[in-house]
Amino acid sequence: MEGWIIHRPTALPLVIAAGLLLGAAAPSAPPRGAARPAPRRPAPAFEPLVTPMDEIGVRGGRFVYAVMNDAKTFNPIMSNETSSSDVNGRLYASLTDYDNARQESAPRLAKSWEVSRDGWTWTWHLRRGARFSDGHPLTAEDVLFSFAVAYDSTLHQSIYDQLTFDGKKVEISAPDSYTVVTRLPRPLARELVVPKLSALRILPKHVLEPLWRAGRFASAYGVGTPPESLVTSGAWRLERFAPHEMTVLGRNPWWFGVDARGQRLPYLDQLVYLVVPDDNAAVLRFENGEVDALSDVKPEDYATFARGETRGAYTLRDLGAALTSNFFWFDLNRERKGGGKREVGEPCAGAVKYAWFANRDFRRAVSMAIDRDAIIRSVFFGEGVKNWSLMTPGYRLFHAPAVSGPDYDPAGARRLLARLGFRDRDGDHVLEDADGHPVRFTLKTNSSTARMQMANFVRDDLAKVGIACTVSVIDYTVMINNMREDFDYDAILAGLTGAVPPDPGMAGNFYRSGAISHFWNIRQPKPETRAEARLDSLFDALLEPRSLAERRRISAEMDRIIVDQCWVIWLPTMKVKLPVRNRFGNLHPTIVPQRLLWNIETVFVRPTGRR
Amino acid sequence: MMRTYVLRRLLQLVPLLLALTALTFLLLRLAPGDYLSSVASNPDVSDATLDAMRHRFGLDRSWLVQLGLYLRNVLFHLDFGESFSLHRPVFAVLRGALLNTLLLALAGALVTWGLAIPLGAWAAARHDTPVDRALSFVAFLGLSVPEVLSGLLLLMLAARTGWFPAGGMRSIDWDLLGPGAKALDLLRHLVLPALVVGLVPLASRMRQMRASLLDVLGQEYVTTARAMGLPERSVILRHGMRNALNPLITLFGYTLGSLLSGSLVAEVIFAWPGLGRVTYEALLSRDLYLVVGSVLMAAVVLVLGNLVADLLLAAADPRIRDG
Amino acid sequence: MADLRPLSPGRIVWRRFRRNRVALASAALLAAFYALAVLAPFVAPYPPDELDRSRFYHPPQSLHWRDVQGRFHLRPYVRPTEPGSEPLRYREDPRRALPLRFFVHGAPYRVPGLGRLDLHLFGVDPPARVNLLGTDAAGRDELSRLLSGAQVSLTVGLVGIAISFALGLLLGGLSGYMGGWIDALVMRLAELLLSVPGLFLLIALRAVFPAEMPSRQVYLAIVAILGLIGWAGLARVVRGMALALRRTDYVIAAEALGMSRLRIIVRHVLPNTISFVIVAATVSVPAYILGEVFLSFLGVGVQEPAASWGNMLQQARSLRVLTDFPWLLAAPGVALFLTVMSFNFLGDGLRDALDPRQLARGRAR
Repeated sequence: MEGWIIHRPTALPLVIAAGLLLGAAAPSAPPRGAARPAPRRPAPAFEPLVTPMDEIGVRGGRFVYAVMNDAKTFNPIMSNETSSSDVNGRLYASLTDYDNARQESAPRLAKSWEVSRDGWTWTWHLRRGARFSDGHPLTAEDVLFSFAVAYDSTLHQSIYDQLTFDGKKVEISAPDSYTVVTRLPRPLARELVVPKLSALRILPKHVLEPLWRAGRFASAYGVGTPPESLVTSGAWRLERFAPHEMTVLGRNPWWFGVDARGQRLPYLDQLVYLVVPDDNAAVLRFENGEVDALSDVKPEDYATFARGETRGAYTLRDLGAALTSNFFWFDLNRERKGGGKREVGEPCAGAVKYAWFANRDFRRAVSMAIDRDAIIRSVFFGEGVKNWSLMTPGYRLFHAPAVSGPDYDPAGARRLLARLGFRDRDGDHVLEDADGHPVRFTLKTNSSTARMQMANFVRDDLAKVGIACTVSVIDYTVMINNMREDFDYDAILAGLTGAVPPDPGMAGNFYRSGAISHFWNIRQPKPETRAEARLDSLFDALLEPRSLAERRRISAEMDRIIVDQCWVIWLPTMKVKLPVRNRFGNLHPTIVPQRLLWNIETVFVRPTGRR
Repeated sequence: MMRTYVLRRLLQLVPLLLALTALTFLLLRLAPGDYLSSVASNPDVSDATLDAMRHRFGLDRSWLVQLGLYLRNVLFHLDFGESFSLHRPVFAVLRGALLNTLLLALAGALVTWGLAIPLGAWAAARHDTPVDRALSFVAFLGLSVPEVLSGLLLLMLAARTGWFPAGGMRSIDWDLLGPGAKALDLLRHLVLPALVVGLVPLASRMRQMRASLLDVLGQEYVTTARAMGLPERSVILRHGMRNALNPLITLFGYTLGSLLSGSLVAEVIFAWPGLGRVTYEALLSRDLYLVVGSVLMAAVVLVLGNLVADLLLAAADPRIRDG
Repeated sequence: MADLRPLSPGRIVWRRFRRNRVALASAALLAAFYALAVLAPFVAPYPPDELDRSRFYHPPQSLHWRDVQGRFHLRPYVRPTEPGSEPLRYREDPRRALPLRFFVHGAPYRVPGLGRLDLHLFGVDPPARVNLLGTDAAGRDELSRLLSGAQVSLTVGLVGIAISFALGLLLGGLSGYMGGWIDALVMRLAELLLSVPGLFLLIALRAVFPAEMPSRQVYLAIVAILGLIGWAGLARVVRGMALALRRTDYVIAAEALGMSRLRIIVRHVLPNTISFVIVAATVSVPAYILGEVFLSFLGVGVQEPAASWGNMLQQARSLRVLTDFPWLLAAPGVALFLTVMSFNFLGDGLRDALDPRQLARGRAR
């Protein structure tokens, strides 16, 4: 389909010419064709970011990416869902970038950084000559401003929580226009500090400070903002936004990234996020060439894609196991607030069920009842792996292959249950506990097809060992409310998706006993079990600056504790495959979020692809 | 007389909208969870942040207090609130989607009525013949295949043949096109979703047309016209059609009211950026004021549509106007 | 009026209806469907939620009457299959036959009034299995799910219209006949109810029912509530008819005789709307059935593991199924298609048969 490589005849030659003028040595001239700014400060020497890449590309072309939802705001501080942060990650620069292929941080606005010997103070050296999309210079002032806004507690956004450590803020100062110094509330592992502080997107102080002072920051840079008035710091700027239709990003002519020949990046003229809410429609539109890439493909469609590779001129790339883990857990929460239908301290699942759920061997028996191979064959069409940790095999650095949990052994499960005193006393194929209560519980999940199917297998597997499990499919919002607010459940089947960086240190909300995603028993004032106390201290050690080998050992130790306790019953994880069009160069899909777009600045259309 | 009637009906809209607002608030409160629950699915968000947000959005108050505050803002400041997730005034969010939905719905109505009237008339002219039966069979076909299926099949057809775009409302290069090309582009995108929307009510409209014409053809003046030796074609076209269309005009008025509903499936499958998707997403994320705004807007359209229908009915049937 | 009548109206209607072959066939087909739904646990060879881990996405097995030598057998058989070399592909063994047995004992099910039964219409000798319509992603028998789903999909319409029509008739008749403030009140209430988006109501209501309640019961309860608020559309039409009827001679005469108003509504106004109502009810049933499909599309219909035609169709609504496992789409698709089609033809036939003008014409001939 040649329709997607349309060039704007007027703009392109100009920009290419400007790009060729830029030597890597001292390219201080602004690209022609961009509005000329009126910098108040003397123009500093330009220190471009020479972006590493496999192939030097050529400029031009367009990349159309299908997404389920569009951005809800172009204000990176106010966004708190992925559809917004994905686009905002392209629009706004951060101190560093995450190199998905190498799984390590790479320079971005900060050309280099160092940490003090005691591990508390980090110094960031900013790139000189960086500019916003309106040509205004980008300096340490803007970084300070962005931190200040992110720490504005009246805005209440998730970035606040991402940039605080144990609830404490980072102290920031700027000794000069090109140096930022951050003092952490505690020493932290290098692999965590750099990406975490880079969650902050740099905003233009000269535009937004007046709005912030006037108390109108929350609605600034919303999706209603005229595209040309959105001043961005990243490789892209907003060209057009049509709600529920598409978001078109164009090249930011002032962006500081160049290739080894000094040609300004990004290569592509346009990056289009096309909203396609129906996944079948997305597959069809990839097949007929309207869409160049998909963010997600269901395992059931892998076969379809494999068949169409030659015809569609694409390659189905195997990215290995996903970072998403699937599991279910039993409600071990106790009433903490009181005032409702339960007394303080009462188990939320009720005393009878709590007695079963709190028994480690009961949970082990449940885990041994689950036929994970059948789930892989049916739900994932054979494209899945067994998984025993949040650190799925997709976590290259932290997956611990030696850790595995109690796997399928129905006879063993039955023996274990019998030893615990569970017996079928009335011949109805359902076990009763020692007091005669039949072992029945409800497994809740939300209406995602894969989860529903997994829950069906769990139900069937448990029935075979004499546990009556009812599957109940509920609204996602209700499920979240159940697990965080009212604890009105017996067991929930859910999943957690990986973040950037793929590091167990990012999952403190899961591992820590006092945290809110410590699903089976959240917000514990102090650890209720010795195993959880151990988990807490291990996690703390994991955050500290240590060698990678040591951190991996700690992570494996945490995995082992969770598997041993069976607080969560692990289910298989799917393998990810993505079709990648052959006509794009430097397109390297990875398993880490932003699978296809992490290096989109270097992606180009191969000249042979043109007609 | 006429003016007071219209005025009275419009005044009746006020209590309706008030009741609807209260009902919407109550219903959203019935289900556990609120907008913050969807924010809370992000494990990075702390309890403190959630509590602060809940307070800022006023979601920590009882639904009656929320309702009262909302009504005060609406009545005294004409402020219908902001969408929680978009940080934008509700009607700014809804306006664009409303136009897109109206476009799709009108195109769908065009498909329905454009087919229903001639086909219905044909069926009536040939009533109780194989033509009549074949026509009703075809019309039922459109009714019996669920939209979720016909949508997918049409989409496959579009994608595999390239005759139509596989969804969306406009091409990416729409901005660069000339006015004629823009209209053509929009039309090409509109055809398939309009078919999906329009074919469902075709059967019933067609049968109504058929019945109405049959009714007229049984009347004495038509028999007289026939007896005078006028050709059947001119009997039907000259005398039959004009009178047979009267009741359908009223019906059309009623369908005006439901223009905003009934295109969610087509909007999702064909990626049409309409009101259905906006409302549905708002509903899922419990974006309170956005839901209320959208419900109110649909209600206003409905009542206005009904008013038009009643006026048409009154114009057509003097008994009701005087009664 | 009665003196000219050679036949009772019921018999005229039946005669006219009988002449419409399509409508008659539709009625017969629907009767068969409802019978199958009632007998579902007996006709279905397996429970609808029984997984078979060796037969995911198994294609339908066809019945054979002739063996390898070409001899005819009265007892049909299927050919046993085993997993092929590729995943999700099965190889048929052409030499072996798996005869179909009738009235076999299988999985137990509960029948109200009779207790636990385990008799099934047909089956094959275990451990082999027969899947005449194939199996789905979890190896569940598609035929058994289709029959179980029929219980939901065919009932929702009846429950829904029973409630909404009873209310619609009464309130519509009252409103049209009484006029005045009652009329205004009922009509404004109708407008209010018509303005509440059903989807929105459904999502709110779904969350209110306890999670332990079986999905089918939740769904029926929701349909009942939808019926409770769904009377508005019908009430408007009935009101219009009542409005016209109250000027007719016999209503005026009844009023003069001092009949109570409610009695007039029930005895004189409503019966005149009956032909319209029967037809409207017949064509409204499919709306509820298709409504369930729509809700399954949005993920708020009858939930797994319970079966309904809507959620079966929704799961089959994918490109892979369309190309590789088409039977999963065909089964619920054809069932839905035939049901909706039949209800419409039935409605059409009833309309023609009940039409008073046609009755009059018939009399004149």
